[in-house]
Order: sequence, then C-alpha cells, then structure tokens
Amino acid sequence: MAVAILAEPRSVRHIVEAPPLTDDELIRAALAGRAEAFGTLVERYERAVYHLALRTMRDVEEAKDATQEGFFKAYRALHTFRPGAKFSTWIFTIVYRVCCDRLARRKRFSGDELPDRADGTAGPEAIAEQADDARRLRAAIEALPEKYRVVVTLFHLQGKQYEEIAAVLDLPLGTVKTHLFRAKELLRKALDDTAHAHKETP
Amino acid sequence: MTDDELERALIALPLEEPPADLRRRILVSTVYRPRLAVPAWEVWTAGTLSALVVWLAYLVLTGIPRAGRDAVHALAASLDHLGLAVGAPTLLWTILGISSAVWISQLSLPRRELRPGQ
Repeated sequence: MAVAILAEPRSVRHIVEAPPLTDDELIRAALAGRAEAFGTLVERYERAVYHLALRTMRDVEEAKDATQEGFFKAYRALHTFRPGAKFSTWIFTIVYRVCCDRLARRKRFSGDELPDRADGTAGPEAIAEQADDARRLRAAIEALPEKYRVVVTLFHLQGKQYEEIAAVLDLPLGTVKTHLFRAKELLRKALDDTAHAHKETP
Repeated sequence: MTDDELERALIALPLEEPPADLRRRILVSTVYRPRLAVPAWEVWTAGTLSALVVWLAYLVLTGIPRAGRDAVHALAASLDHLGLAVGAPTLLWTILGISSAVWISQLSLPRRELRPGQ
C-alpha cells in the first residue's frame, strides 16, 4: 500500500482553461434547466443588445426596457432557436422588433410623426462640441435618420456580414447595402463639417 | 476621410455601457422568475369557477325574489320526502365541505421534499 502511494507521481496540477462554451451549447444547457447558462448568454450579448436598443430608441430608459423585453422573449422562445443559426442575429432580430413595436406605440400615442433628433443636434456646431473623434462619430450616427442609423449600428456590431444585417432588419440585401452606402456618405459629410468647424474655431 | 478609415472607425467605436442593474433585471425576469406553486391551469380554473359562483349567486339573490330561500326549501322538502330530513343549513354546509375536500384533494399543491435522513 505504502509502495503504491510512493510510486504514485506527485500531484502535478495541469491547470487547463476550459474552452468557453459555444452559444449552441449554452442554449442546450439553458433548455435543460441550467439557469447559469442563460446568464452567460445574457452576459455575452447584453452590451451589444443594449447598444442596438439605445441607438434605435434614443432613450436610456426605453432602451433598458426594450433590452429586458427582448431577452425575456428570447428566453420564452429559446426552444424554437434553430441549432447552428447565429444567436446574435436571432437576439438582435427580436430586440429590433421590440424596439419597432415600442416606437410605433409611441408614435400612435403621441399622434404625430416622431421628430428625428437629427433636426435638433445635427448641426455641425452641435457636433463640433463633442470632445474627441469617437464622440463626434457617435454624435454623427445619432444624427442620422432612423433607417440609416440602424444599419450603421448593426454594421458596427456585426461587421461586414451584410446577410446578417439584412436578416435582422428583414430587408433585401441590396437595400441594406444602399442604406449603408448612403449612411456612410452622410457620416463622412457630418464629420468633415465638424472638422472644418473645429479648424475655424479659434 | 476614406471609406476604409470610416469603416475602421465605426467598427472600433466602443459600445455603450449598459446600466449597472440591467443584467439583474433581465435575469430576474427570465431564469430567476418566481414560478407558480400550482400549475397555471388550476389557478385559471379556480378563478373562473369562483367568478362563476359569485356571478350566479348575485343573479339568484338579486334577480329572482326569494329564489335562494325557495331553492333551499325545495331541496329540504324533497329530502324530507325521501325520509332524509336534514336541516337546510346542515345539508348545505355538508355539501360544501365534501365538495371542497374533493376539489382540494385534486389540486397538486407543492410538497416539501424530504431529504435523506429526515
């Protein structure tokens, strides 16, 4: 017995980091009743989803509510998620629809067209007040009309995956590319204007 | 600014920081949402039956003059006739008690799970 113990190699711990679970694995675990698996999904996508909601709603409280509602709907419909599909596209689609519903409701209750904030803060002077490039770019995105702003936001979140953007927005691929092209033109113009305004400011 | 520069700037733009309590709110409304102790259909059935009973009682008591008393008398008289003379209140309470016991026995109320050793 003692020999056996002595013969055993000394405990050498190999600390091996477990690879992070994929979205599909987390969804399977969540469906099996593991709460922490869904928690990990929330942790993974909360920021991006909130960003999309905030860009669409342009109101922090509404964005919070839309994000929460989106995750709630996703949780209830988790069993319908097609394995192999992209979870990010799925959750973005759900949250974007929630935002559209909320915007439509807001429009119905207010009884008139939603004012595009572009009118209020789109001027080069307003944007020029932003301190750095990131803030100026953010302000320029904020100033875009809604259809362009959403496409730019999804481009920001998903990169050049135009098919995914088209799926979220339920738009033809060509329309997405056109909107993105037009949005970039507007952004470039806004940023150039602010750069000129900066130069002219003593 | 070129197209590439703009795209790089867009992709590098930091995401908005979500509010601190957002994750807690999401989790509370999803995975940690308190579950009903009894199945939803039982709650709906009980609620519907209760509403129906209240509505019928209201109709009887307000719509038809002396309908409640007449119904009890008629029931008592018929039982008397059968040789089972029982006071109307006693009879009603007995029926109510038996019905309640049967109904409660059918409910799947939460049970405390016994751990080994308890």
